[in-house]
Amino acid sequence: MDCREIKNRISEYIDGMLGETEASEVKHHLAKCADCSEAYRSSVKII
Amino acid sequence: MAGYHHSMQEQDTKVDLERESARLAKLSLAGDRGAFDRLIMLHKSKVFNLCFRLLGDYDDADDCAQEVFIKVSRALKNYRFESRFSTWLYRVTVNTCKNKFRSRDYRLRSKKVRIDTVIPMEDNEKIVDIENGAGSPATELLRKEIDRLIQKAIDALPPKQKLVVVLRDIEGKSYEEIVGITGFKLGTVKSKLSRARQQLREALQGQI
Repeated sequence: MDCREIKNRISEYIDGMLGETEASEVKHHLAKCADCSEAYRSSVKII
Repeated sequence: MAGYHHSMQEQDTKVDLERESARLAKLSLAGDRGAFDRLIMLHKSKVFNLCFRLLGDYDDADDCAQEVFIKVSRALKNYRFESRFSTWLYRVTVNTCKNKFRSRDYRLRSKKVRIDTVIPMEDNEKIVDIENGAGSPATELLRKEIDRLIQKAIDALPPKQKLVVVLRDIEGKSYEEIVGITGFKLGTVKSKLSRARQQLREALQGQI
């Protein structure tokens, strides 16, 4: 998944609505991508 | 909005509320007028809050909440007790708000956001309940300012995104409940919620 796809899945990732494989893919991407990781952190903050 | 975590105790309260609502609804249908009044009392602040979040105006929300309970009193005989009472009630509320959105009068008027006003209820309940709990005056001021910024950002969302994000992140409804309330497909709920949260994140970046 590229950054755009990851950002589209952050919402479901936060709510635990992704399947195991997808959730793992998002998790690994967030660990290495500063931009998506920041998008994740600020989403968590507002939710 | 921030920090909504539903504990086991909250879940139990939710179950109790559903059970009590169903009991009162049955009594109302059997002609007990007092039971209907108690049913309204149980849900009035939640209905008002939802109307207020969706409409962004106290007077409109007040009118809308009253309209909801008039509709409920008429339509209760059609409630089949197959879904949760609150899901059915939220569906009536959302549809009533949608009608308000569609009305020419509403669209022509400029919208005013008055989230910074904490509205006292008869029983001293607070209507605006994003993060209850007493704090210092400075903390309270900050909380109100954050609340105002969030409501302003929510108000700028397209109607469907606004509806989904309010139900999920303010009312704490599950995805399944949102499907039941709105009639949207699960995929639509997911995509609208994702877009709404992205927009809120961008709108609130650096502000909260």
